[in-house]
Amino acid sequence: MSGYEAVSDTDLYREINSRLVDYLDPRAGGYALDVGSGTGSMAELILERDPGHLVWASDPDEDMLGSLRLRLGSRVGVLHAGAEDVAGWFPPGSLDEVVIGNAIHLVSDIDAVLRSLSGLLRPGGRLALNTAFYSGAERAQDRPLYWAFILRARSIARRLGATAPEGRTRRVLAKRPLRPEQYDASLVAAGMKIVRAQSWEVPLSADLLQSIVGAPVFAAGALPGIPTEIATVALTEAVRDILASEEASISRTWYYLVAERLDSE
Amino acid sequence: MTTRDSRVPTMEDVLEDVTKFLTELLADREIEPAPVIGPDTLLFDADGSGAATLELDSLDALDLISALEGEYGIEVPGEIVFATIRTVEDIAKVVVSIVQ
Repeated sequence: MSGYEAVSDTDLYREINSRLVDYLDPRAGGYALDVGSGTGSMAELILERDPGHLVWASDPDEDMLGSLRLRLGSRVGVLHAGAEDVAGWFPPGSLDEVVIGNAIHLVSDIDAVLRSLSGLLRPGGRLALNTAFYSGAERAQDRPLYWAFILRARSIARRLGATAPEGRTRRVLAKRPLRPEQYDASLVAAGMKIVRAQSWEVPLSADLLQSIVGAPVFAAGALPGIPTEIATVALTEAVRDILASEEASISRTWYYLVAERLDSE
Repeated sequence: MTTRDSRVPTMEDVLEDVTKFLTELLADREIEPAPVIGPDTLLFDADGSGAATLELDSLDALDLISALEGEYGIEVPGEIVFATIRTVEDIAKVVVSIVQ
């Protein structure tokens, strides 16, 4: 199991993903690619909405795909591929939809990836993405809490025997959190027309927050260089400490973006 | 730096190091214009005022605090960060309070 099921199975996370599928508005009987599919939450929502939809799910993480196969079986096609490589599996202009749920921030070269994925869409086809990791996603008043949380987790990781790497942390996330308008511009440069750009501030429930920080993919990004099994324990303990001691609450703003492929000239 | 190794660092020493580490950390951010880092420079916008800040996120905090801990052989508790740190000078004060 990937460890991400505790996140994807929460009601709040399902609601976050459902909005993206609503905004994507999949065409009946259409053909979709779910990039960075994880355990298959997004693919499953597309199929719930349109059981006749053809869906391919791609992810570079074999554990995630294993969970996806258990969840969805033969209802979706499965590709072991990252966002940088997946476009090579499909003919240009062959897809109705591409969806990137809570994963675009894991991509190093966003311009190149969005350009390659937009090329897979037929004219009028849609690409929808959402992310809660961009410049402005955190509330200003939560920033000290994030700092305290990460530093508390690091202290706990040390207590558990982890040795932090020397020098600068190697960011697992994109080199620098982008501003929302940079995502917009990247899609426009890829020949897309923005049809929806929407923000949604989400109070993070305690159970979702604890699930998120316990997921290996989050731990790798939050505490780079710390062994994942230690990082997940440290982060989980730290969030319990912070929520218990400070009666704190954290909100995060998800950014939703939908774009359509312009007609070819 | 060798002259500093033999004595307890002063506030000025620590401010110099914090500024140095922040300058290195921000060097690849392509921020235009390049931020001027002084004692009152805000690390992040904690109250939504819209004031100019360095926009440091939690990974930046890890880098900065880890660098200072390595430089001075100390450990900075996370609780102190939450309660007090907002500016460059605040970070320096925390380090000074631990080393002195």
